Parts: sequence; structure tokens; C-alpha cells
Amino acid sequence: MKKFLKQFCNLRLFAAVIFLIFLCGVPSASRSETAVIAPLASHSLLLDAQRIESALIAVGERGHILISEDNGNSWIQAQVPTRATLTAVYFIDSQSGWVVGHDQVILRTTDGGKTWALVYENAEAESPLLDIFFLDAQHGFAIGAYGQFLESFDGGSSWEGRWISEDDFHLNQIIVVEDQLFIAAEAGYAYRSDDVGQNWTLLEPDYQGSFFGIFPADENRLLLFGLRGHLFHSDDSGESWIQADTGTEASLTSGLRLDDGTLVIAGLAGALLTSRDNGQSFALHQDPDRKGFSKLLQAADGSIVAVGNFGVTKLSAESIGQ
Amino acid sequence: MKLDSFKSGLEKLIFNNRLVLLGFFILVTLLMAYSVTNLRIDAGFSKLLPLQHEYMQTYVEHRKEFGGANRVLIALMAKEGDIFTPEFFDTLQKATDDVFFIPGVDRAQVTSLFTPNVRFTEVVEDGIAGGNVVPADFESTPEGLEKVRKNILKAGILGRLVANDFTGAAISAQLLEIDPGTGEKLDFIKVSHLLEEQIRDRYQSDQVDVHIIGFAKVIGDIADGAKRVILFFFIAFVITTLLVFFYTRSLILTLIPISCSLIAVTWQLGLLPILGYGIDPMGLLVPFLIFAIGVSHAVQMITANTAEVRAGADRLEAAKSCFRQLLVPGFIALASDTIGFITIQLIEIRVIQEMAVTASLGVAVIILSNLVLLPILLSYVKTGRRYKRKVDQQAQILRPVWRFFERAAEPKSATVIIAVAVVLLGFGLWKGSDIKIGDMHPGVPELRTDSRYNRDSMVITEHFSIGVDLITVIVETKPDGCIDYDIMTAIDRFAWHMNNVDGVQSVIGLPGIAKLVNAGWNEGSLKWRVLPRNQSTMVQAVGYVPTSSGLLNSDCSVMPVMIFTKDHKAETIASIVSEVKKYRDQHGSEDVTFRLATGNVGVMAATNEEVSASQFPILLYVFGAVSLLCFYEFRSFRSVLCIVLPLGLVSLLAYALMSILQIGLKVSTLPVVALGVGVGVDYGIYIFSRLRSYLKEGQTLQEAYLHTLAITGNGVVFTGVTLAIGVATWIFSPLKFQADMGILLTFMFLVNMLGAILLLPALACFLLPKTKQKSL
Repeated sequence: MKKFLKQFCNLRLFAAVIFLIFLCGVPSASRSETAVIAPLASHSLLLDAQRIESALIAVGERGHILISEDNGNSWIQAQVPTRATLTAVYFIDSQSGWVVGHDQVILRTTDGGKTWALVYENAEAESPLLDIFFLDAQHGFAIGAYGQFLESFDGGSSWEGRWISEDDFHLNQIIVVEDQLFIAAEAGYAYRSDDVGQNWTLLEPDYQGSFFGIFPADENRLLLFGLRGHLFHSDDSGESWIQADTGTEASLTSGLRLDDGTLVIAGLAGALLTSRDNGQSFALHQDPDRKGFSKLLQAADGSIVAVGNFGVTKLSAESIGQ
Repeated sequence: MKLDSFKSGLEKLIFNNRLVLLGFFILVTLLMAYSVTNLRIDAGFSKLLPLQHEYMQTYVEHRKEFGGANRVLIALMAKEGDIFTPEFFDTLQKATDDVFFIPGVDRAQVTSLFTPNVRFTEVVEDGIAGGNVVPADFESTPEGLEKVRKNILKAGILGRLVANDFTGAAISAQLLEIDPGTGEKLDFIKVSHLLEEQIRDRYQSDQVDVHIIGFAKVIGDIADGAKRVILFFFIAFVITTLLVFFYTRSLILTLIPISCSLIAVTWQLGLLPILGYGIDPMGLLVPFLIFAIGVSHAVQMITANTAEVRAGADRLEAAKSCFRQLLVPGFIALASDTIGFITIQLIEIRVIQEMAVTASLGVAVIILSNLVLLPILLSYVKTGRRYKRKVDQQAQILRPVWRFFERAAEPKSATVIIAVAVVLLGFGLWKGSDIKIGDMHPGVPELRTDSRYNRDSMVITEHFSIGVDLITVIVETKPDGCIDYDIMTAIDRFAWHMNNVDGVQSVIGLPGIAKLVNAGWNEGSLKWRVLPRNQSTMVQAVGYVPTSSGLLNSDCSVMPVMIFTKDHKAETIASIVSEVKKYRDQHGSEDVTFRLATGNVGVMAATNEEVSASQFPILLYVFGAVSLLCFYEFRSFRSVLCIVLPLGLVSLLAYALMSILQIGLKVSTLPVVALGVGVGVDYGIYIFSRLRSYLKEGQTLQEAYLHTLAITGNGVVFTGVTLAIGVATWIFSPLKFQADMGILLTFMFLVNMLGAILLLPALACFLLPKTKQKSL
């Protein structure tokens, strides 16, 4: 009898929680979990990072969001209402930012990353979101695996999903160049939109492997790169592509333009490529520890900060042949 | 009195049947000597474990499935340059082939660059490609070697099978419990020797260094070290014999105590195979200890006998008289020893319990050999006038010495002695409370830090990403738990939590591997390094992890989490263990139970807890038993205090010494404290019982003590010094635990002796009634 009562109480509690969740408007049953503050968070897998004025922010596994106010020397872990692996971060100004990740979580901050709210989550979809981008404070896109494409017109409070192509390839990275949007995708695909995301044109460089990143070089040149060291550039908004020799078979993940104009493309297995001719040709600098780089940043003091499977580290100028 | 009539009855029985008894002793000794030939060195792994302990129950339950702990790792290191030379690859290939043929090696699990189970995979446009790291068509040309270098990087074996800096390569092999060749239990000592002969001796060269680690090697090295202990035994034996001769000035009176003690050792060793025991390397010291205790008691008997002879008794009367005098104190002292040894049984580790049984057996045998056989033998010894003269001379020389020590019983000096004792007590409390449980030095604790094995292990940990200090938490779930997202997440979170704990170097578990594999299935992308929620994807992620990895069992219901620690200091272990317990209490569920613990550090954790749990009960029982026995004999609390207080002070000082010398309280040193009390009490009992007999005759304390010193004190000082010199030889043992025991026992023998001849009379001066009394 007692047991039954207890179960009944639990049931009521459960119902109340469900009700509250609906009230708050979170689309799926939220596992109200917060990321654990861990001493080694800055040595855990980190997948994306961004510099916002003088602050650096990095995101990664277990809901880790790390902020550095001292050019990457020390990192403070933020309170985050999820323990999902976070894959990408985008800030539109020093205060407003968004983070996406596995379980299709989307987090929003309005105080420069100090506090985060879970604005969207869909674990049942069993597919991650892989990048996020906002054109302005209201209009943004979240893209992910299996052609997942979400759009928001209210600063991320609500999201609508749709398909931008008949294929369901992973959409890996989204950027804007002038008034055109570009997406790097799986299996040798890339997309371009000329009407702020309404319609998308398929771009077809001559490659069957995945593209993990797309990067805007100077003079409207686009660099598209991915699996096994493949790297292409285009000077006509992706209509035609020219392959560059990279000298590596490691997958390339992200790009960075240094203050002096040097382009750096980083990748897995310690691959660091530099170009002093705006992406025409590249020199390979192999990191001896074979770190898996997921993103490079240049901090306000000029130092280069890398995140990846090792956590976060500073790269010396020599390591990229400077 | 009942006791007196019993004593005289026993005396009649023994001395009227001297020949029968002598025949009996000779016969039994011959039988025992024959039995000794069946004695085997018996080194086992599970004997070293506190099997009743919670952690070790976990170990026993999962031993079958994760027996993989018994690994041997052979590292070949290039002396110059790196491994990419034709010579090195040739050596590695031959050594790998030879490892296959070492008996007991599980051939399916031998891994090195040259075994087909070492493969690389790489992501290509249409999926995953792979091959052997050293391809079938390998030729040791610069091109071929360069290809291997690339494959090593792709295979992710850098740090495991190849040194991080490419200066060496390893061969890893698992040993089976049963040798498939003979069907018998695998002989680790033999395997260890074969590794030396067939691998190290054969491949160590100007270009290549060979380093070997693994449990079998440890056992082999301990056994080899233990053999050298026999040499120390011999040295100690010779020293003791010489000193006894110097003391007695008579060949026959040297031979009698030495052979009585040897007879005790022979009986003790002979009883072992009869009772089904072997001798463990850890317990090799026991026979020597028995010998030492035997000599100590025999010298008391000889001294008493000589005193009687000097007083004019004939040889039979002298023997009978010292039998009467020493039967009770000798018996009480030996009974105290026995109890001291038996209390060590409280440590529930079989090797220690065996040591307790064999040592108490030995002491029990001494009761027969020294209290029965020795007086019988003495009764046949005819000592001439020349001997008496020699002994008289010696007594003359020693008289001023005893006069000096006699002052300990005078109030003035006694005050000083007690003041010094109080200072020492304070010092002992201060330093002794600092004592650490467990081992404090790097490497395998049984061997010296600079031993070949520990040096090998240092080289290997330096160049490879291999930790040698490992505590494994066994996570039990339901069958197929490894494809359940919630369970895998729970284990992953535990692993990450432990990774963040101070003292943890790295953590390996199935979820971590599953994440890597999942990323592998997704073109190696870091963004996919997660546990998939989709069950069939999870199957893909864990399906390729073999059970031989030790990270899962065959039905995937048990998944160990391996926690590599940065050292095996007791504090490190304790903090990690308590963190696991805290986590378990907060996050454990019906589906996921976290169980401590296996791995060498798991064993240390259990052992440390066992030692720290039994240290106070052991001391309590030892002191309790000694006090009771003393009270039984002397019927006075004050007398008990006179004997027990010095013992307590010495034990405390032994703790302080351990803390200063950084010797931890562990399985090998805890018994020493109990043994030390047992040996120390002998001195106290002999001195006090003779002192009391003189006091009963109406002498003052000072007179009585002077007379006691001349007879008993003489023996006590002699045995204290002799035994200390004997055990001091152990300090040079190649086995660290024996060296530690040697240091401690030397200290215990010497300082207990000083306590008995200095502190005991000083205490008596204040505690015993001053006036002459008829009965005490």
C-alpha cells in the first residue's frame, strides 16, 4: 500500500515536471542536466572556438563551454544546461551567441557566455547539429547531419526545420561571404544561397569525399577543404574549383587568417598548412604530437590558440613556420 | 604448590628417561630431515591477496574473464638512433618468434609489429581501408621502413607497441594459468628464467637493450632474490656460532645450543610439507627467526647451567636445577612469542597467515628442543676445572660492567633513565604518528627501487604510454549493457569524473574506445566522437573491440574502467578509492554498479586497508596476551608494568624509525612489530623472573639486580647483540621487503635488549616496594 502511494506520488511529480516542461515550451522532454565543472575541461575534446573582441570562447564534449579573458592563458568553464557534446559556436556581438551540438541542442546567451539557456533540443532525432550561424540578431541557421537544416527568425527562440536539397548528406559548415551563404557538406557537395537562405544551389567540385570546412580568403576567394587533405579554391562563388596540393592525407577541419594575411588551414593528425599567397599554394607543417586540430584562433595579443582532441593549447610561431 | 609438584614430576619424568628421550629426538629429527627434502618453494599470486577483502572478492569473481592481468611486456630499445634499421627489425622479428615458444604464452594474443593482429585502418573516400602494419611483402629497405613508419602512425600503436619517440618496440604476451603443454599450473619462476635465457640473453646486444616487465617476471625475480637469502642465512649462522663460542669458551657448549636450535629449524621445515605447506619467498626468513629465538633461549640455559656449575653442582644436578629455574619463564616467554606470531593471523592474507602458522610451529618446537632436549644434553656435559677457571676469569672481567649497569636500579640513575624514556616516548609519539600505510617508493615494492626489474619498468614507462600503476573499477551492468546508451553514458561519465581526480594519470574504458570507433565510422571527424544514441550504431562502435582488450566481457555485462595512477603512495590510493566510493554512492544504480577493484593498485588498496584495519587489533592482542601471561607468572600488576612498558616504548620507537626511514607499514613490516614484541618479551621475562627470585631471598633491589645481570643479563646482552648482527645481514638482501624487515628486526633486538636491562630495573626501582618483602 505504502509502495503504491509512493509510486503514485512519483507519478504526480512526474506529471508536474512534464507539465512544466510544456509550459516552458521546450520541444522535447528535457533531461535537465547541467555540465559538470571539471578541472580538466580545458584538456577535453573541444570542437569549435571563436574570438569575440578580446575574449575567446571554446565549446566541446560533455557540455563544456570555456571562456578566456586573457588570450587563452587561463580558461573558466561556464554553467551550461546540457551535457551533450557541443559542436559549434557563433557570437554575433560581444553579448549574443549561440551554441549547437549533439541531441540537436541549441543554447543561447545574451550576456557574453556567462549564462546559457537551452532553447532547442531533439535527442530522439539521433543526429547532431554541426554548425550555427546568424545573419543578424534575429535571423539564423543551424545545420547538421543527414541534411538537417533549421532556421530561426526570432533570435533562436523558435526553430523551423526544412530540407534544402533532396539528398540527406551531412551539412558540416555554414559561412557568409558578402551577401551569399555557403555550406560545406558531405560526399563532395557544397551549397550556395544568393537569397539569404531561401534557395540553395548545389556546387560540385570534382571530389567524392566530405568537405568539413569552407573559408573566405581575401578577394572573395573561397577555400573548401575536407577529407584526406583535399583542398579546393574558387574565385567565382563556387562555380568552378581548382584543387591545391597540400602534401598531407590528413582531414582538414578549419581555417584562420592571421593578422599578417597568412592563411592557416588546420586538420587532424597534426596537419598545419600555411599559405602566403591567399590560398594558391600551401606549405605543410607537421605537428610532432599529431594533435587533432578542430579550430585555430588568433588572440588579441597575436598568439595562436588551437583547440581539438587535446583540449586547448597555444601554438608557437615556429610550429606554423612563422 | 601445584605448579611445583608438576615441575618436579616433569623433571623426574624427563631426567629418568634421558636415553629414551634422546633416542626419540634423534629419530624424529632424522624423519624431519627426510621430510625437508620434499619442501618446495611455493610462490603464488593469490596468496599475496587479502582474499576476504571486498575489493579482492571483485577480483576473484572476475578473474576468469579478465585474467588478462598476467601480461608480459618485452621492450627492445635501440641504443642509438631509432628502430628503423634493418638490424632492429630483424631482431624484433626473431624475438617475436621466440616469444611464441615460451611455455604458457597464449599464442593468439602475442602482439608486436610482426604479428598479424596488429593492423592499421585509415579513412578513405569510400569507407575504411586497412592492412598489416608490417606488410606481408615487407623488405627492410629504406622505402619499406618508411612505409612501416607511416602504418605505425595510422594504426595508433605509438606509445603501446612502439616507443613514443620511435626508439624502441614492444612485444606483448599474455600468460595462461595452465600450461597447455603440460596441463599443469604454469610455473612463473620457470617462465621468468626462460624469458631471461631465450629473450634477454639472446637479443641483448651492442645495438639493442632488452627490458622485460610483467607479473611472472616479478615472481621470478623475487624467487631468485630469495635464494640469495640462503647465503645471508649462512653468514648469520656462522657469525652466531662464532659469537656463541666466544661467549661460552667451550666447543661442546657451543655445539649444544647451536644444534638444538638447528633441530628446531629442521623440525619446523620438516613439518611444513607434512602439513601441506610449501615455503613462500616472503616466508623464507621464518626459519632464521626460529634459529635466532632458539639460540637466545639456549644461551639462557647455558648461562644458568654455568652458574650452577660454578656454584659447585655436579652436571646432572646443575642441569636439573636450571631446568627447574627456566621451565616456567622459558615456557612463558616462548608462549608469548607464539601468541605474537599467531596474532599476525589477523591479517587475512594467506602468505602472512602461513608465516604465522610456520613461525608459531617453530616456536612450539623450541619449547621441546630447548626446555627438554637441551637440559638433557647438558646433563651429559662434563666441564673440567679449566672451563670453570675460564668462566671465572670472564666473570671477573665483566664484573665492573655489571656494576655499571646495576646503577640503573638506583633511584638517581633510574630517574634519569625514566626521564630519557619519557622524552623518547614523546619523540616516538611525534614521529610514530607520521607512519605511512603502504608503499612509498616507485616500482614493484617487493624489489629494490634500483633492481633490474624496476629499472626496466622505468625505461618502459618513460618511452611508452604505459602506466604500471593501475586500479581497475569493475562496472557490472546487464547483458548487452555496452549497446545501451544510458549505461555507456553512465560509465563514460564515471571515467571522466575519475580522470579529473588528483593522482589519476589517465583512464581507459569501453565508452572512450567506442567514441573513437564511432568517429572512425564517420570519416574520423572529431565532431562525431560521441556515444551514439542509435543502438545499431552503438553495436558498430563496440563490435570491433575484442574481449582481450580487458574492457568488456563476452556478453558485455561487465566493463572494467582502468584508472592509471601517477604513483602508488598510500594517500594517492586512498583518495582515489574514496572518490570512487563517493561517486558510487551518488550515481550507482541497479543497472550500473561500480565495484572496487583489481589491478596492482587495487590489490595495494585492499592490502593497505587490511593492514591499517589489523594493526591496532594485532598490537592490542599481542600486548594483551603478553600482559596476561606475565601476570599469570608474577601475579602483580607492577611487575607486568615493569616488563610491558619498555616493550611498548620500543614498539613506538620502531614506528618512529619506520617513519624516519620511509618504510611504510605494509604486509611485510607489520608482522615485524608483532614479532619484535614477542622476542623482546623474552628478555624481560628472563630478567624479571631471576630478579624476583633474588628479591625473594631477601636481597635489596640493587644487589638482586647485580646478581641478575651477572647471569641473565649476560645472556640477554649477548643474545641481543648476536641476533642483531645476524638479522642485520638481511639489510643487504636484494629484496626490499627483506631489507626492511632486517632493519626493523635489528632495531627491535637491540633496543628491546637495552629496554630490558636499563628501563626495566629503573621502573622496578620506582614501581616495586622498596623494603625487603617475603613475597612479591
